[in-house]
Amino acid sequence: MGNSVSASKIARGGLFTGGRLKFFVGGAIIVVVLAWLIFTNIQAASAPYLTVEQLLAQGPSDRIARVSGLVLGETIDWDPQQLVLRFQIADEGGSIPVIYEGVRPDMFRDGAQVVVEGKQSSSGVFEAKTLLLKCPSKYVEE
Amino acid sequence: MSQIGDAVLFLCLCVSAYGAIASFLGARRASRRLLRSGANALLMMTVLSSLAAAILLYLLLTHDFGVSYVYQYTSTHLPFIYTVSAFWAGEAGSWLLWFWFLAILAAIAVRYTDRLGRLGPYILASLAANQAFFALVLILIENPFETMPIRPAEGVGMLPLLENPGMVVHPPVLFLGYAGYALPAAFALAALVSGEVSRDWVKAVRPWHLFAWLSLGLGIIIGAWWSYVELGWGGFWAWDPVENGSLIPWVVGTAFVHSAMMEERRGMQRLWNPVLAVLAYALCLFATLVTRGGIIVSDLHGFARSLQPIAYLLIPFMALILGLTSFLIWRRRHQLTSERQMERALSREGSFLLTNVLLCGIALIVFVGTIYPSFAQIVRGVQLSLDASFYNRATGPLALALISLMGVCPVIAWRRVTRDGVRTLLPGLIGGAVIAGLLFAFGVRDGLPLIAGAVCTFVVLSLLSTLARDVMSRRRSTGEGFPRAVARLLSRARRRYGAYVVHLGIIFMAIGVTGSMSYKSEQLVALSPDETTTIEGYELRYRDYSIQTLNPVPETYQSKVRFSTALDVYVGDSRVATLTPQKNYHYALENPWVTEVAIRSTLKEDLYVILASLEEDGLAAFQVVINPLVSWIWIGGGVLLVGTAIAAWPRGRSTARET
Repeated sequence: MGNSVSASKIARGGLFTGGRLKFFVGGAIIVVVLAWLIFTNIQAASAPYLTVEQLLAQGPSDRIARVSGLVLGETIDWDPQQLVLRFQIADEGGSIPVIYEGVRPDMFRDGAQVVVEGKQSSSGVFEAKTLLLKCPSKYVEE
Repeated sequence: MSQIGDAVLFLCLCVSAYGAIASFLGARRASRRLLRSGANALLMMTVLSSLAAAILLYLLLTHDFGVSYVYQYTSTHLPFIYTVSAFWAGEAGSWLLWFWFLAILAAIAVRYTDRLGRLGPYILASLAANQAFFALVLILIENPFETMPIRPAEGVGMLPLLENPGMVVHPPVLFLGYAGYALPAAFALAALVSGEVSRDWVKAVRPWHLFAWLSLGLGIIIGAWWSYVELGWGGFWAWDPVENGSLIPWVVGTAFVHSAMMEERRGMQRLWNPVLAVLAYALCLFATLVTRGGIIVSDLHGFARSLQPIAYLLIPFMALILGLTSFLIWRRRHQLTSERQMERALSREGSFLLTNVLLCGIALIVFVGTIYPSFAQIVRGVQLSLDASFYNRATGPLALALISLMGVCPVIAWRRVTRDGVRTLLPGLIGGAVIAGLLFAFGVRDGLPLIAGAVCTFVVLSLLSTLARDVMSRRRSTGEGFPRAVARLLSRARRRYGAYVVHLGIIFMAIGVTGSMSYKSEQLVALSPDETTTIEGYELRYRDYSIQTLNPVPETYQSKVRFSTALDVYVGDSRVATLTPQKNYHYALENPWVTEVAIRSTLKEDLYVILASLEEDGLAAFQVVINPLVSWIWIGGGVLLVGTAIAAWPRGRSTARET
């Protein structure tokens, strides 16, 4: 391959000059694609955190939201045969009923701080796809 | 003992600072005496840092709970192997580990710098300066030898999640990679400072960089495996900030592997090589900043909510490295021009360039996704979270394009594509189309598996047909028999074929990722003892359960109530496995529940069973997951290791020249 080198020694330019037009066009296309990939997907994949109050004000919606609140102990209704969990979460702004099909998390109890992700249906029940307990920090200990 | 540790750390700081200054001044003044003294300081650092490591190990093994690191991470219940691995279970210990690896690598570098001419002393100066920074961090913020006013009789214990073979291996391998990335950065800075920016430094850094790249890659894969077998959520990659932090430098490092080849072979990418080398190292530091610096806002992780003290050292240090690099690049801008211009886009240079752009694009996307929630909170004042679909959708197309290039690249020549090259592409293209057609005929309708199936087939066939072409032309010219021709070819061009093996490993991983992403199925089921359930051809019989208390006194993190179940797994009429998914209640922990999943793994799929809950009367809820093709990810990791070893193994005389 070594003998073909001399033919390809084209005049050198400065640091940022000399590339041919098509490489710049190609580069520009790539940058646009990248920006588009990031922008559209950030729009699609970011779920806002709402308080119960904000959710109530917003009403039923098709957009996925994350809501955090405290579990009201007396409303917990757990069916271990069907694996359906019903409960209400509340904050200063009010409370909403939540239904979650899945396993009751181990730390789930009265007053637990939870984050539910899902949509509020037209009946006013929040249908949670995921149920997460906010865990106190364990990484940083003094 | 811990006072000795403190003293050793202080000595480390002095010696490494001296080493940095002596090497730098020695290079400036061309003073042999200073240079030798600087090199000796680096050798001394290996002794000192090994001593520090030995002291920490001694404190751990003797259960000296008066030392707060030992108290925090171990207990007398802990088995020997985890008492050793407690070395890197906490922050201070893992900094010491990183520091120690850095010192060892630097000492090895001392042996080789003689051959590097003017670059050598600057490399050593840069490595010594890094060590001084780490010593400073260890002394000021992350001191593993810190003692407590009183000496407790028992330690707190290790987090149960860390009691796993994966966590014995994962951190050392990962930190070896992080430490290793100091070398490419040091080489790049040395090249910029000395003005010897030609291809020599890029050639010389190759074995060092491949070593760091491999360690980091394996560290990431082992981490994914740990997450899969220990965290009990059925997946192996969650696009969690910690995972992203380690992935980003690896992706940038992969770009550097490729652009370094463009410099070596064609004298191109002269500007980008130092940029990528330094950036990869800075991103390793960024990974630490993500995990420990408190810069990432995350509600669901145990991250700190505000900037941690370590951030005040790390951020200026990163700024210093990046600032210095930018300044030097600006100063050397007239030397950093490529020897050649690109002639055709459709050439090996062209596909290497595209590879680099795609890799940097992926790194950028992951980086943006990682910091976006924090950014949104600070700038826009909104709290939001970005789920995994962002990363999958944004990086997916780029990753598929990248994998396709692995099939295109080897068959086309430098400078321009030849007829012969196009012909070699044909089997792959046809094969890919056939596989996609077959998958479609067998009822596959989703985009991802169809495209990924076609792309992976294309790459494998294209690699094979390249090999076939090379073997054939060798036989024509030498008249050797087939096996001999293959063996000769492989041993003469190890770099090339090693790289193909690495690509094959990536294909295996792509197959595993595609399978588990597209065809994962899950079932949640409540069973009483002796009941059965079926999923995807498996019959699971819930045979037995037990509840027992382990390590009750004294109370440590290792004290637990174990809820255990036994399931017999049948395929047809034969019993193929007994799985024992468990849950442990570690009552000394704030989050006491830790699940232990049970997995039956085959090449085709994993049967992954999580015990979700167990009532007193034996009624249990199981989450049963079928994860197709996951094993191929781990196999791919092994192939990656083998391929890199083939490519990076020091060459003997007979293989010194290849095309």
